[in-house]
Amino acid sequence: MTRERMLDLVGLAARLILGVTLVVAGYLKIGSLQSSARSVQAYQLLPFDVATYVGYALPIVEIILGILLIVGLFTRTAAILGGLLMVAFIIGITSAWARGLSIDCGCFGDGGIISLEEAQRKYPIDIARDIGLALCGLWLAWRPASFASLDRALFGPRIVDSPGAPTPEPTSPDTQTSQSTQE
Amino acid sequence: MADNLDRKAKAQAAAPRQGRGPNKIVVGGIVAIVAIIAVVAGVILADQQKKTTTTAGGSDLPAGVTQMGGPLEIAAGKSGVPVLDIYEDFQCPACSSLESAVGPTITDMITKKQITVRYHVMSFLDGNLDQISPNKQSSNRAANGAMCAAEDGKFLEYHNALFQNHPQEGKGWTDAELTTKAKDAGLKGESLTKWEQCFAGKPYNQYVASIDDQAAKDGVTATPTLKLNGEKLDLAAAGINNANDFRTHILAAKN
Repeated sequence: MTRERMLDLVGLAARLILGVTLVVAGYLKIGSLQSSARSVQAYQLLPFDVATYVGYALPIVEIILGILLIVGLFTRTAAILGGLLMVAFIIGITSAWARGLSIDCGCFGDGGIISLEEAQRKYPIDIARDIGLALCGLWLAWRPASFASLDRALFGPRIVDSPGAPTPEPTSPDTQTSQSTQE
Repeated sequence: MADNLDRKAKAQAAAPRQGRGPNKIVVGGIVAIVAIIAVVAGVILADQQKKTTTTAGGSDLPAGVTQMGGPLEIAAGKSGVPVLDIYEDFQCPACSSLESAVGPTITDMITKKQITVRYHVMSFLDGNLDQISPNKQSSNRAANGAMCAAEDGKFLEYHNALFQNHPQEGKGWTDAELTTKAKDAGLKGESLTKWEQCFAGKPYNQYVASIDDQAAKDGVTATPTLKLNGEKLDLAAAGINNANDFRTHILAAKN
């Protein structure tokens, strides 16, 4: 197995980990958008009404980004947006922790009753998980090429590699570089 | 050499594909439009759903309530007594535990007019539990039942009856069970008939639906939440282990 294929496999794993997590998180919340709005309000970071609308939109956005990542369509864009979402969650949870709020992160739609001790115990776990997921996004933003992706099936083998991305083969010829700039 | 051939083959394979394959901008445009429609539709639907629940029923304020979103206050009628705010959802198991531990003590202090208690009757658990509950909107209906009982001065009795034989989380109550609770609360005869009319008409439903938003604005994210003279009261942190500790702690907090 070449180095390139190895990296493609890593890309596939990153896509599936981030994508499936986003779809599951969105799916568990989409049945109750009112609860999702409460979870966002609970962080007390956004103005109340803004938090409400963010709460309504969040599960849908998560599912869309998750599906794009799972099928590997517009991988880089989806990965950047998914990664930024994770960064936003990390900031939110860290801030809730620092302010001594006892909230459930609401990440997977649970929310509700939680004691301060339980919250303090869960914050680092939630943050660690989101850092891992953000790293999946970062990897795909850096190298979106991966196995079994619609990007590759629809738009050709290299087209998703923009000029800024390091090419897997150092000796990549000009023909391919010029082709990839057509993105 | 082999590498060179491979490169050429790839370039040849890729080039015609560019012409015949789907256009990236078109596909991207379609995905973006579908995504935007999905998000906007979802937000509009959720907003409508919220409007429907908050405008259903009447907009009357129950006895003991002074404003939309505000608490139902059982006042001691004396100045200087401690003020205890209680945020509860009738379906919440932790509220049930709290009530079985200190509920009788709270009722006793109310009866002796030693404290003023403000009940914030939340119904946010419906949002989670309606997906599994056979009795939808149990928190909302129970809250409406409690507000109807307040007409006859029986809010506390109805509240306490709901926490007796508290159902497993997600089971909730049928309307018939909530009517039985009214009888348990001591409503009978004409009072019971009035309660049943009130419960069917839901004149206080908009008030009930307004409490959750106010609680979220107050920073209450979980039930039960207690506030003593406006300060959040964490029982464990305050070293309160039993009903006696609780009584001592509350009564020591002169307002």
